[in-house]
Amino acid sequence: MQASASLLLLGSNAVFAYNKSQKLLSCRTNQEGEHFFSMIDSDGYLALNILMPARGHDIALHPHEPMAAVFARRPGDFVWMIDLATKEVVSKVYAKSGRHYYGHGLFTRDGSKLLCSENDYETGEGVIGVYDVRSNFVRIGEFKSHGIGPHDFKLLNDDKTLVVANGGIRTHPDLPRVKSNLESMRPNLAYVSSETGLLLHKHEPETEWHQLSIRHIDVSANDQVAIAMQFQGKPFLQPPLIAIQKGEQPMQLLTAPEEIQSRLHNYCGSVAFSADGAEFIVTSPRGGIVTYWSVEGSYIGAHEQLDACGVCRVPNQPSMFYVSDGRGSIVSVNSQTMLNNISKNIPYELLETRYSFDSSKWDNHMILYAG
Amino acid sequence: MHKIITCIFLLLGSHAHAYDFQKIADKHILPVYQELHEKTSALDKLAQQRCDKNSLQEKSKAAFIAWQGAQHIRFGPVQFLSREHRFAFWPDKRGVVGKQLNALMQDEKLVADDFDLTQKSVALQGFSALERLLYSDDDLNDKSCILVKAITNNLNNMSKGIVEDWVAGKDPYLKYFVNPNSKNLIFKNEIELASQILNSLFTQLELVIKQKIELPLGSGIEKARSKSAEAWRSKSALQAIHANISASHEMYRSAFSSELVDDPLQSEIEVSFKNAFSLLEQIEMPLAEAVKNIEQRERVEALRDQVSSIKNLISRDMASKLQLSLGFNSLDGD
Repeated sequence: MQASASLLLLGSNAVFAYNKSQKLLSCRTNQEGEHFFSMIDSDGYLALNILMPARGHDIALHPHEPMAAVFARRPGDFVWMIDLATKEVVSKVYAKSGRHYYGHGLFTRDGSKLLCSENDYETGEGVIGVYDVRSNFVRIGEFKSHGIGPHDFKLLNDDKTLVVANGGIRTHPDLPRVKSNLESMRPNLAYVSSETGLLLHKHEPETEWHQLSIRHIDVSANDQVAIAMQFQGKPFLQPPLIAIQKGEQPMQLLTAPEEIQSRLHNYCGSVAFSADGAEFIVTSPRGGIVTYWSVEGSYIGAHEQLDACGVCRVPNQPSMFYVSDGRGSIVSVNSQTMLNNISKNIPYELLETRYSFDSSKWDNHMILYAG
Repeated sequence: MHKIITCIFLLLGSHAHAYDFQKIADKHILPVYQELHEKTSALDKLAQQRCDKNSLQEKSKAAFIAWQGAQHIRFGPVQFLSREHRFAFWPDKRGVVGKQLNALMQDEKLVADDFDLTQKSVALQGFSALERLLYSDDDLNDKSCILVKAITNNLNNMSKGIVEDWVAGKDPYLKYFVNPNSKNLIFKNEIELASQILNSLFTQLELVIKQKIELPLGSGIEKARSKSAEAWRSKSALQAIHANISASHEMYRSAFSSELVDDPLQSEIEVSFKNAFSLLEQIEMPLAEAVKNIEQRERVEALRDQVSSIKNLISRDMASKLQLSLGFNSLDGD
């Protein structure tokens, strides 16, 4: 299969990434409905396309090896290990019986283990599965995520504490997309020791907003957590959808100015801190809008981008991000530029650097690989 | 690999839209849900009076077909309280409905005064479980009658709830639907709402092709899967597909057809719907049997191709003409 590599460069900047070794990794679906794991090289070519049996979701990079773990979309049953140097699938890991994956995971900092968010679907209990990287990813254990529906999770600076977004929504593979406990759901952000599996502390949105599902988080270099949520209640209610949280402090819910908040459609897709941790941006695909926030929680601005979801920071570029969408575009944006802009709401057409890939519906998440 | 460097000239506002959402609601959506409510209400009334398999089959089928005629509306109150998933549990690849039913029949809680079906698995709550009870070889007994009555009551409550959530109360969904504008909390502009309707239509046609037709077809006649046909016990699969396509046609007509006046695409879409209906009429046996019959199977395949062509005309040609887009991440929920 050969994906279309036509690249439409807009604006004056013809260099895709600032560094020749930088590549973007994301899953995508083409017009024919085939699903791929893809890599875009610094010249903007689709340099790798691996056909997948179903839609992928997030991708995790091994800390030392040129290896990516590609997680199947919820309720998925596979994780594929891709050797980014040889461009081959080196291992296919399948969910244990009675479990399904939630689409996210990470490698421990020493590179010895892969952790995956999983659902024990008969009990509905969330778990983090532990896989041994050196023994061909055999599953060597698990511990509780301390909530229902663990989705995204990240590792803190101490290399051992996990922050887990327990979305609160119970699902079962027999009802792939059905959320079966919306009335009683109680999501949380749990700090869990990856060594003992014990809960250190947890944080919940206030009771009034118990249907705010905590799905995606990012953690800055100094352990500040940015949270992107999805509201499962009636569409005309307008809860805050974005939050920040640090250490044992309570979660601080953030609201954009009214005209922007109402455009988020109660749904945030992905979140990323800038490389310097000073700002973070959140995608809202249903509203076609991407909001910018300071680490202190103040609203900075927004740009418009239909179906935007994937977002990643760029190492060594303090305030630069890439944002992908379901219409084939990837844009690069800068949160400092937004801070300095007079207009705080940038239409898509005025974004400086936009790249368009034919036949590529970029999926929820995108990461940058400097290999 | 070649690289094209081009400039994009944005095509903005070259099409004048005049969507009449009030009319779409009045002439299509609300009547569809009122019909569903009438049929589920009649079914429930009979079930509460007379729990008898044979007499309930007809009304159950009528309500099921009314649900099939509403399934293409995949937004709004039908999504509140997970209603869309509680009406029917299908496809049921792992036989969950059967397993859950067996377990419930052994469960003493079923006969308790405070038995509440809405707290049970969604697989038990709707038409899929009801069909099994009404089309099994066994007669209904006291226990299964409790469940039949609970299901018909649940179906009726959900249908009533949908109608009410559309039109009644402080915050009727209709209020948002008829007037998209920048202050509207759900729909900011016409394009957004029209895209929602388009996505709904697309998803339904895709479901008809992939699940309702291709699942039972299988990869060849020896691999045909009769029991993958929807509602094969009551032999309702083709009627369900007819209701789906017919409802999609109505939705297209009430929302988009008038946008295509003087455009050849309008008659192309009409012709392809017409062809789909005539192909449906040519299938002379229930879908579960047709997929295993050499001659009939070809007609089922032709139907599949015809629905695909409707889907492509609407989701590609029409969408690009009207500058609407199908969502990807925005349809997601992850």
